[in-house]
Amino acid sequence: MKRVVLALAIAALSSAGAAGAHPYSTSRAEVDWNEKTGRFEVALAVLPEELVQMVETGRRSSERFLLNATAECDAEIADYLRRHFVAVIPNGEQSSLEWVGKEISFEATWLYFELAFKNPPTTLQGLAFKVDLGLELSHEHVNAVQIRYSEDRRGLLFSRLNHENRL
Amino acid sequence: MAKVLVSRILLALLLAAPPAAAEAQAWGSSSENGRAPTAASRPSVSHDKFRQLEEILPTPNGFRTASGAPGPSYWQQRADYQMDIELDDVTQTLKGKARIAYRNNSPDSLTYLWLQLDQNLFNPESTATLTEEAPEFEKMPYRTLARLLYVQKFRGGITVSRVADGAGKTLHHTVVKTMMRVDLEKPLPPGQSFTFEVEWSYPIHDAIAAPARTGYEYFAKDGNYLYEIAQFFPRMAAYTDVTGWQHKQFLGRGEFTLEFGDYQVRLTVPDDHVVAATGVLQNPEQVLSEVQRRRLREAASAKAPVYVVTPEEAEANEKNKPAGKKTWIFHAENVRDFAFASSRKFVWDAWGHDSGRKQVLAMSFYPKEATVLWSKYSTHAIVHTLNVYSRYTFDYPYPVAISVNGPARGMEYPMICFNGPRNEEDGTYFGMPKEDEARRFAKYPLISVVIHEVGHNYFPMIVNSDERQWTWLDEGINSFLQFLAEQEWEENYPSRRGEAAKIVEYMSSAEQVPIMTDSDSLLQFSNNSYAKPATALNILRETVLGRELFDFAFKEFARRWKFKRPMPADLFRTLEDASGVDLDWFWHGWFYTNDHVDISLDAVRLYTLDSRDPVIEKGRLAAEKEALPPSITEERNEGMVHRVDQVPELKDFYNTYDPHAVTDKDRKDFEKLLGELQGFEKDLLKTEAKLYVIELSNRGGLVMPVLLDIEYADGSKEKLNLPAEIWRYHPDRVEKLLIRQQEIKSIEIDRQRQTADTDTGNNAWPPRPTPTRFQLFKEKMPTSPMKEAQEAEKAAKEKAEGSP
Repeated sequence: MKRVVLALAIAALSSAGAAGAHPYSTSRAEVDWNEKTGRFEVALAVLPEELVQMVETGRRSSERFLLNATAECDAEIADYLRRHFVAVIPNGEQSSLEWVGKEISFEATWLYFELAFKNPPTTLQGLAFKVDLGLELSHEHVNAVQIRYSEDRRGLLFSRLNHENRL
Repeated sequence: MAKVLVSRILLALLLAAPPAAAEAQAWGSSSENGRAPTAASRPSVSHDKFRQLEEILPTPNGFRTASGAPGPSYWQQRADYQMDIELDDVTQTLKGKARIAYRNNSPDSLTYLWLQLDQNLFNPESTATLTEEAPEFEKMPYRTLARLLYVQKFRGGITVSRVADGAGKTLHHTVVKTMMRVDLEKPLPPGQSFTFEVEWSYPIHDAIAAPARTGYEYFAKDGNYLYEIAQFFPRMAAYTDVTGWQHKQFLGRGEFTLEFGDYQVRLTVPDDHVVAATGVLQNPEQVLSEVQRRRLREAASAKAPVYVVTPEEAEANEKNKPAGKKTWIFHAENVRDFAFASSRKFVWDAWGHDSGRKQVLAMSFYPKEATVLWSKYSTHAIVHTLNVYSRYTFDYPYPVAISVNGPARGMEYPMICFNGPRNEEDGTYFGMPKEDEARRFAKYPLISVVIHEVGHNYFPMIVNSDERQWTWLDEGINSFLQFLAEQEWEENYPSRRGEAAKIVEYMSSAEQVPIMTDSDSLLQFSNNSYAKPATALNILRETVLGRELFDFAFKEFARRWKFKRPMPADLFRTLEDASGVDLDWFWHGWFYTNDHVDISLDAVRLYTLDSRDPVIEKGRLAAEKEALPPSITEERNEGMVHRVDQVPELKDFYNTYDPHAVTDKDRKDFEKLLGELQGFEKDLLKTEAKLYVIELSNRGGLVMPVLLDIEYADGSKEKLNLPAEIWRYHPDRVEKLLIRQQEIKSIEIDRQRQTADTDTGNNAWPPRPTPTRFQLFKEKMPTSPMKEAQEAEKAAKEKAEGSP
């Protein structure tokens, strides 16, 4: 038997909700391989109100998460992403996430980070991506990820029943 | 500047030598490897992108013509309602009685009628409830579990207590989840009406505990309720020439398909409630104070919104207890639905607005919790929406347009809509960005949602599409117009949908279905039915047709189908019919496939003409040779004393022969050639034009115009748009010839990101690296707050340790 951990999400949907009866419930990411650094460089777009809910859901504090320009905010987002945006190479090594920065806008909040490896992959073949951010918010939530590795381009979609894509 | 190696074309007498026969130097694509894709690596897009849609679209008929207009035999049913509704603020229940006059305008005799019982969505036995998938358990938000438990516990659903004909005789009826069939004693023939009555009741559900389009919100601090009531009465299902009865079950996504009619509705509520509803209030003397009536009159001609109920009055009202009940009477004409909101918490502001020859009263109703944001923006956003949407469609035909704040996040009904965004509890909405950046944006969700939901009056409330079947037909069109209205609100309004660049990731993502997919089977719902069609229409307007042609054709669609029921084919056909442009390729690619745009500029080849004049051609060859830099050996051998210089007798003819010198034979040959040529052929030999061949490949499958930005060596620029038909013979690869007098320095495809091209890395010649978004961010923002904090910490530490 598994224990369900309830998570707090304080931000009211109504305070910053999206237009329409149907929420957006989607994120999109550009993931580019940097040959020089041996890292994936990620630019991830999330709606600000959904990001707030994600981070709040992912922590135990009952305080409201404030999306702002502080280091504490960055650290909380990075901590959330470490658990929800991961690459795994065939030998089982899981990427570590290095935070780079963010841009906050109503249209989308862009989050920038790198996925680093002790043994950088030499091909996309066999690589797995686990991207399950926001899936706790809505069963309709999807994460669209576009991966570019040298000439190789892959469009992946992550949803509630498809957290992981192996290439 | 790109180095240009020239290939010379020898003109044959019949001018038949094809450029491809000449040897040419090709320069690589701008893709990362600098190579054009091989035939093997190129995606297969061999099927006919320009195949006419006639094979797919319904056959035109007397109801719907091939031009996309309603045909001479077009018909639609009509349903007029007289209703008595009572809202119980103690038990949160609603009961009602409706007298429905249903007119059969179809050519068919009907033996039964179908009605929609949408409240049965909340029944534990509903298809929606039974088919809801399990949630995510790893990190389940409290409110998710609360919702699940509430849905499990709440015994929602409608109780139909009576169905009888106009004479009071009970009619047999069968409830099929969210639909009800009423059997007629005798068939209802074409052109005849049938009047019957229905009585019902249902418990109103908590729309905060389980978000929905309708329900109540309880405010624990003051103990009051706010009701947003919709889908609350048995509504006639639509009977159409396309579907017959549209009685697909209501699963929560595919919204509503309804008939037009007139409504006379008596709403009985606690006597201290303020009510907003579809239609015009018929008895203001009985339900409004004299002061409120005076303010309403003043609002009609005011220059800014006027409070009918002030925030102070609303707050005082919250402390009331009702002494009894009041009945508000509303009348609405030619609407497809009816909704209302009721609460003692409402602040109410109003503002008269001229829409064509009619005056519209724009009104907002909101609790004190939303006053700061709403009193500033809501009514202004209504008026702005009417202004912009009417310009692109038709004058707003209804007398009121209302925006209500309550538990629904955003939902539309005729003349009235429910919108969720509020200011913070402390009254701020964009203050304190240092503490919470998200607050800066709080006004935009409100402005956007009001534009969107008020905009729905046009689509689908007036242009009455079948939402149950085609979500995109109203949501996509409305999101497109929303984008136009947002951009007119303020400069650089942060619209989330509309611009082509914002759909790129979705277009190339996996697990898509075409836009032309049933509402309840859509994947990536919001991207599919809102964003993609809105973007497609914007691209059609900005890039394919141009604003003038598009706006005319779009307005024609709206005009043709105002107060009628269009289907997707009617939109496709009308936009072609009115624009005069065959758009089948566009509808096919954007609406019937999952293809995406990725046009690659693979290579550029340059040809120049051989003039055959030995003076020119040999001179050119000599100049080219002269222009070549010496090899390293040649350079180092400079000044070397050669054997033949020491022993001159070793030299022969070839030591002094200049292959670039023009000989008598060269001249005679040229004169002989000229003698054989006609005048125009002689002129052609003098042509100095450069012939550029642009190699393009279609890697995404979706054919689109090719938008070229050309820069010449002299600094001048040219924009050249090649219509999508350039792909009609070879949808996967084409070569385009450009004849120019000037030397081309560079070419770029879709510089202004108009087409949603998913890979701009292969869009330029000469190839150039395209920085990723990540790289651009790093360049402009080398530090992050975290890094700054770390550096500050390090500096403080050094200071504390006495470091210099």
